[in-house]
Amino acid sequence: MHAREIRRGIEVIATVHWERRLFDSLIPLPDGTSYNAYLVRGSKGTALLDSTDPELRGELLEQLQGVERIDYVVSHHSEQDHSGTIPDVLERYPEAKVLCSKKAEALLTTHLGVAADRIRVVEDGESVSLGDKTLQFVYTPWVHWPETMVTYVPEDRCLFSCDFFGSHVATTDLYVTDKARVYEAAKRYYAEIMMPFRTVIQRNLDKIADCPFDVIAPSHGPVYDDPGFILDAYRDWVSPTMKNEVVLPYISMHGSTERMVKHLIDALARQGVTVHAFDLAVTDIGKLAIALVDAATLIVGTPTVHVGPHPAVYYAAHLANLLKPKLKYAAIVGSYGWSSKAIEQIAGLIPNLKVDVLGTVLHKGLPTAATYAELDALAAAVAKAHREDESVSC
Amino acid sequence: MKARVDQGTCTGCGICAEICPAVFEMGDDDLAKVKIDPVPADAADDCREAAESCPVEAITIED
Repeated sequence: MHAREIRRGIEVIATVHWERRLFDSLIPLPDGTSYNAYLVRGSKGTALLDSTDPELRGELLEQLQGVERIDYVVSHHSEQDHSGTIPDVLERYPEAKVLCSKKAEALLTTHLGVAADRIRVVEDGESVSLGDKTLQFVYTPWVHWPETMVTYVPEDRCLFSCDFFGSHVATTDLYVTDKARVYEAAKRYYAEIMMPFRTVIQRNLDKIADCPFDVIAPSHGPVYDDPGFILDAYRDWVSPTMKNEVVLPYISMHGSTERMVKHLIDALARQGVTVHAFDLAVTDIGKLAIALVDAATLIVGTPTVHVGPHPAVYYAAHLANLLKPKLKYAAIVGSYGWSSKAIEQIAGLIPNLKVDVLGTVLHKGLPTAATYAELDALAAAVAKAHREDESVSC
Repeated sequence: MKARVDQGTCTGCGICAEICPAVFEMGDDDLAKVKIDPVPADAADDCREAAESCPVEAITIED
């Protein structure tokens, strides 16, 4: 990819990772990803905002060919995919200083080996002049590490948000052209790494509202030249309001749990409740995370392995607990051969989720008419809880 | 009601002091401290919100 101008004197130095399919050895990347650095050239100085993943360092350095001097390298976020190539940039530009938040200083030295004498800490709200362009730093902690900050360039009304508003999309598009595609990718990204810090993100949204930007330039995915839609989306995701939706991760070994789950899905649909069901044997955990952003209820479907839930259910329940979604209600359904402690064990896995348990339907062997009646009652209880809860929009 | 900040876990992000300044303040070491014990009744809700908002779950509350 070549460097491309988004404003006079501001270029995006995007390195696109078309092949990458997994992040943190955990998060699926169905559409690959990109790492965006930005070069801001003022009349008296040049700054590079972020860098790229070390795997693509060659592509970044190639796009910087012809840039004779860099005065500042701004590190918004110390993680390797944005700051991992900063040591290479500092080697090529010996005059450059790293500008970062107070918390980033220790992370950059301990995680990336950046020399402390190359770092200058900037305070929240501080400005650094590049002549006819100004870098204004705003601390935005927990999007998604404690040290994260953003930069606002008032002369061009551009907000450089790093991971905040990012989307894992490998693309040649400079700006968002397909809002639906970017919405889904940004929601996946929010769900996987931002959701646990919802309250803090709400405060960060208020904080950046003081910057009258026209453009949001994130470090993953295309640039937002019409940022209203992503701001509205974030406001919606962090708001306390939930939707009339159930997330139903399940797994089945010999078919009993699956029969129960299929019946319950239909019963919930009859009650007007939207269901997002995921067979954990084959599911993309990113899709599960997306569904958890809005849902009011989590229903886990599990068979019994020895005396507890299936290990895949442990994984999904632990993940939901870590992501701290808004959820207010839960239920457990499933089957067993001779005995089960699945309910107690699942309940112990989700201490972070402050949920009311609306019911449990655990059946020995194949479901019977009585089991289906219990599932119908559970579906009615879920619909009623949603209807009567002011924080659930029905 | 008592609040406690685990100093080994706190990252010093300052969210608690922002949400509930009546109970939490940032110390000279940049970590959050509890400045009042017990928690005043009129700060109890904010204090709970601060504990729930702590990104690293460093705050514990004893009723």
